[in-house]
Amino acid sequence: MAMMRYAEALRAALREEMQRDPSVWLMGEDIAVYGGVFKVSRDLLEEFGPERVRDTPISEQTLTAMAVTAAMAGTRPVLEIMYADFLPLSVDALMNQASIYNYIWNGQVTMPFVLRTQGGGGAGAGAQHSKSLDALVAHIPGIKVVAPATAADAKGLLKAAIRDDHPVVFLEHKLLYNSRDEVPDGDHLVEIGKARIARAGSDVSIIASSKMVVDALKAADELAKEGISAEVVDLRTLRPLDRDTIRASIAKTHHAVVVNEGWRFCGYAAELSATIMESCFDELDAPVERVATHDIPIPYSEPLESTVLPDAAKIAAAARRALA
Amino acid sequence: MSGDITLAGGAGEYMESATIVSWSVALGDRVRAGDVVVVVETAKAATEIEAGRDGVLSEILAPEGAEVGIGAVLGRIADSLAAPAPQPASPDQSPAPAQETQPVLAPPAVAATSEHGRRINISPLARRLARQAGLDPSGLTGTGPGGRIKSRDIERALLARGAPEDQVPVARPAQAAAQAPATSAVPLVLIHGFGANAAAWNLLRPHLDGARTVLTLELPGHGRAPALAAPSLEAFAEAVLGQVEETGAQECDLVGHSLGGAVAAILSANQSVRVRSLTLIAPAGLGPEIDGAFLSGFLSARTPESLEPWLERLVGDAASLPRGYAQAVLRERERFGVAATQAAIAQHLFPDGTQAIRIAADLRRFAGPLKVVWGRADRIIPQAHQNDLPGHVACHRLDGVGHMPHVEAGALVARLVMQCVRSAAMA
Repeated sequence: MAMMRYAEALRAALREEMQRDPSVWLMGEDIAVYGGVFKVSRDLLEEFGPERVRDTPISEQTLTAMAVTAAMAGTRPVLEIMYADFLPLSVDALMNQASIYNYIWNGQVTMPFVLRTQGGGGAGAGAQHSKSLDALVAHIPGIKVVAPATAADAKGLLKAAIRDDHPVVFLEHKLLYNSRDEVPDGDHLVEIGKARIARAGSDVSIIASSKMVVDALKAADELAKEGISAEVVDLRTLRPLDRDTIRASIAKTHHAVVVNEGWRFCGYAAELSATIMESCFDELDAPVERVATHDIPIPYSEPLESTVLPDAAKIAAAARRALA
Repeated sequence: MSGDITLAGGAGEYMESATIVSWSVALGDRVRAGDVVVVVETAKAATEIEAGRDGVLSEILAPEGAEVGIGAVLGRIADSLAAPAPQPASPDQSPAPAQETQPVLAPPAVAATSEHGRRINISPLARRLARQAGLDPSGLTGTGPGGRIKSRDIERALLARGAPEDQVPVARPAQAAAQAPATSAVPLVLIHGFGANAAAWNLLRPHLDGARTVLTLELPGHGRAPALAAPSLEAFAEAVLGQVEETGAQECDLVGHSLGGAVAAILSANQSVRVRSLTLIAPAGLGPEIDGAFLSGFLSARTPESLEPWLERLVGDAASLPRGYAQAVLRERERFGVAATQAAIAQHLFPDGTQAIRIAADLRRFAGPLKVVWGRADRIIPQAHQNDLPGHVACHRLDGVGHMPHVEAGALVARLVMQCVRSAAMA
């Protein structure tokens, strides 16, 4: 075990996979010479050279199509899109190329590429640099979507994503890059599609991903002071969804709070809520509580931004409503 | 095509039996091939079973809460209901059965509306609990938001209903199989061993007398049971006793395997729920030896490849391990995060590969029927530990069987358990 920052864990995953497999290469805006705006790919240009660590123009739509064709040609590109807010530019390539070629060509092509990006608010970055667009990509059949909350999972899931033969969108959070935790040594892989119990509890299940897991754990601490035992389920993978872990948790607690930093209307939390209703209806002792971002552009002003985004206090309040 | 709705074995899954979670259609409802008719839950997951043909759900043979084995027929689909209640002649000859034609087998329906036809405000869980207990919730006052009836209101009503003379223990569905009226009120309590969980009994349970209420409890830090801050044999016994007390039982029969056997032995003298009989399967606590290499290898294994060799040591014949067992153990560890807890338990109860627990004195004091069942090929705890037991203990030594007699020889062990239990009932 080693204490590692989330960004360092990602870099370790990239480095190890590039050492292990010469067909893995990186591209993105300012990722090579500058090392990435969040410094995830720092020093990799020096180690692996300009053939495998490539700076690109600002053209997300083209880059994503390039990643698709490079993957079809037999390499394993890892593309960085600087802000998740620009995912809409990638969506055509994801929705009309990456996700369907394996299907329409009867398995004759594989699509081993990873699209890394980061989203989320709380940094005062304004309406064009703060969004969480989980639902936009998780909506597409044929795309896997992961969203790690810890450094250990960031490393293990990125390594698994690079080895996956299907397209994986890898969602990071700008406020997590400096968070530190224990990362297992060696070839640490985390299976895509498996949630984890971040904290065991018996009264209410809080189901979250990415930075919302951190807020959910804080909420659980608050609730514990009131004698409420909250279980926190860290989804880790948004698609395919680990329904078994969700069901097992709700069969135990009978109360559910679903949390996602995306917008509330048609958001990822709505999918969670519907899944629970369909598969655990008779276990529910109260309606599913949903915590998500207000349906407006993310404000630049800090007091306004914090009003709009979910946080530990809002999650705790939702848990209390569920248990009322 | 047959109209039988059967429980098929899952491909590669560790599945020997399943519990009926819910019927998705009511008796007499029309179904089409491919419709989900019933949801069952195995030790690991819920599975939907679909109708194999079009027709009408004509029979429910396994009610919700029932435990069924692989291959069991859960219900039947027919072209129409076998014995439709006489209906007034109607100009419309459509065969769709009316709501009123509920056959005798139908589970008691919980009124969705009160007498005045107003909907009751009740949570799904509370509705299910009420239905399972045969309670009409329409007269209850809900304490949830807007007067919603929640599970706590049902529990309160059931407590109030349970007058001393007609005491019927009301088991929570998560802990006990649903109780048919014919089941004995003295529960048969099964306590699994170290590193296992309630699913350990899946191969034994189908062989037990169906008229018994069977409680498969989980030791602290195992399965879904929360861990204890300070694990000790006494604390484990207390936790198990608490779960038995919750059912309202005044007496019970105990079966324990390995560490669970030691827990059962400690419990035999408790003052709150009288223990009528004890069946101990390869119990811990009768001597210092235990396979320390197994304990550390089992606990540190992180992949099926590193776990399987240790699991093979558990049994006399490796072929008797259920398929996918290693994967199931690892999934369980990951899902419930029990690995660190179990390492702490092992360090406390079996420090340095030595059994630091003793139960011989408890067994000497126990006056009821007492059986010990041990595999002659046990490589975890030496079967010679039973040689020093006092004369009132019946010892059964099974040839070719390792440390898991209830898995390796489920039918025989179930027979021995029932013999022990019946002799207690006659005493």
